[in-house]
Amino acid sequence: MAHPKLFRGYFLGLLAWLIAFIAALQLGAVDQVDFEVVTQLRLPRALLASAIGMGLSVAGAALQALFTNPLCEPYTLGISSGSAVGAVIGAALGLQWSAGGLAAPAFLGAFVFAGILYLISFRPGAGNLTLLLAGVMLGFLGSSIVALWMALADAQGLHGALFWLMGDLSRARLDGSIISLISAVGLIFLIWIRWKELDALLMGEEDAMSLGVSVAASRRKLILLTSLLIGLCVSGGGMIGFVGLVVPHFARKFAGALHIRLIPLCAIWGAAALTLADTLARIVARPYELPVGVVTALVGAPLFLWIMLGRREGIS
Amino acid sequence: MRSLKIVKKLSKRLRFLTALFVLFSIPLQSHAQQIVDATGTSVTLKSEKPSRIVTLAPSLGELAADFLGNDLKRIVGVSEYTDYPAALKKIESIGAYHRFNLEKVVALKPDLVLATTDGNPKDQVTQLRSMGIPVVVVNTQTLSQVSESIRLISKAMGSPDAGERMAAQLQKGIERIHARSQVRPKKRVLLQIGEEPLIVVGKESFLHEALETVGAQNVYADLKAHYPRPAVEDAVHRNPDVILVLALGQDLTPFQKMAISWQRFPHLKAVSQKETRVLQGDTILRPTLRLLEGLSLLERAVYGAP
Repeated sequence: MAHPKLFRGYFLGLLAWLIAFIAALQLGAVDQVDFEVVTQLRLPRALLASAIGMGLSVAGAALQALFTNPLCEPYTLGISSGSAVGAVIGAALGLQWSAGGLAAPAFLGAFVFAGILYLISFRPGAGNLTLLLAGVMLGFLGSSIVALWMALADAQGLHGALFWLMGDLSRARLDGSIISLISAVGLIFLIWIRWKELDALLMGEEDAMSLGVSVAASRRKLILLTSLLIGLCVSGGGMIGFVGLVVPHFARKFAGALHIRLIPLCAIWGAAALTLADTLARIVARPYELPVGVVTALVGAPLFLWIMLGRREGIS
Repeated sequence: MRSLKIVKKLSKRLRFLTALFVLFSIPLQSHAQQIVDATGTSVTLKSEKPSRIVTLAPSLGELAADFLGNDLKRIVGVSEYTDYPAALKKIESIGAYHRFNLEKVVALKPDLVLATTDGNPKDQVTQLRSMGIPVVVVNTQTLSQVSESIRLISKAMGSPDAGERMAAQLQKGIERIHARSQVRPKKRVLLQIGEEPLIVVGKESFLHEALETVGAQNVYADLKAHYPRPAVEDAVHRNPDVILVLALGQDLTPFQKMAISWQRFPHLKAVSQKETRVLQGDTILRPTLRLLEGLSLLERAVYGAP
């Protein structure tokens, strides 16, 4: 099937990723390119940014189909918030604020919150809005638990925690980044092969059922896969917002709404976008580094409003 | 009958007036003193020798105890983690210095509260003052301010001579360490206080002055903040001779890990010459006489044992 716009989308995405990746290796806090600095700092970060960027974008696209709402984002489900709660509990138990130290509790937190959503989705009559609102409430619950910990913790660990909550990739280590990238690609593949179910869900629950898709079962499976992917992203880079919103929004303009094309395009563009955002975060305030979440939020939050106000129908 | 009533009434009034007079004359008799503290506030202390002292930071508890000797009963409240001297551990805690419990402080009915600009929230201090509680605030951002705070506290506690002596002792010790540093080559030092994000010591910090006092050169002397957070790349580029990780508390493991993580960059001078180590930071961060101990620890960490 010839589809020139789609090919252009893939081509541009790969090109952008390549350019972003080279820029990420070339640019940094200092102009001089030092072998150790590139291999120990810039390469792990660029790899982690790619992994998290593709993970968050695909998670966003999947959630938007699941809830038939283009404003859905990994954060609206509250799963990332659950991840943060897990990490905070880990820190309170004395674990270090590092990717390795807090990955396990962050995963666990995501699982618990996803589990709650999963149980809610079992309830008869639990529609999209129920789940979405439940996710928003879980997000509130999560951030209040984090706030509780911040009020009680001593100032020592707070700084690292704050940075992590803002979304920060400075913890990247080469081995961890490679593992993250492989896991992200694997999970994305598992979501991608369910493209038919995603397409059906996007059309709404009734249409999906008439197409022979078991709505409840597919939704549960996809929610679990998506939360795993979000857990992976949050434990690696903290709360990076709006990538999952912005990338699918623009990818749809090239790939259309069908997920067999949309998911891979989201992955490529997401990787390019976050790698680029992180490179910007590293160089705009030299010798300081910004948390990448600040950069993505500065671009993403206005865009969120723009998409929301541009929609003809209401949110529900 | 009537005249008797008038006399009774009059005597009642007289008694009342006498009582009023006595009440007002008490403060006049017991030498109230005025002290101007580090915030420029003029504090009126009701007695020359306060007997209900509350200290809002561990270092302030330590200093107060130094001036009281065996008379520690005069301290009625301390902040959390006030553990030096050990006898202070038994005194009632008013919570952590950065967010202490106002109600507890008020309930202790202190006649002197010692606070510091280095950690105690300004709004809480203002609140105490608005309730009429005398709060003397010290500032300990520089070495000379530490001496000044020692004098201020001893004066507020009614033993100004002891403060003069201690400040002189501190001054002498600092001069001795500084004199030693003059004959050594200056080493370029990165003093790290946190990782992920990397947090270092900048020009505004007290620790920057400590580095200069022992004759070291802070590689981040150009950054104006107290504790800037430069990129790791930038630190690698500055290539310090020595990397010190400041450790707080008894458990050194996380700080040793921070020191070890520099091994990722084998070409760094500090790594190839094995000059990456942990510095026990509890004494150098104490703006008390123990600061001298901290300075010599820092000196040894940079230049090795003399």
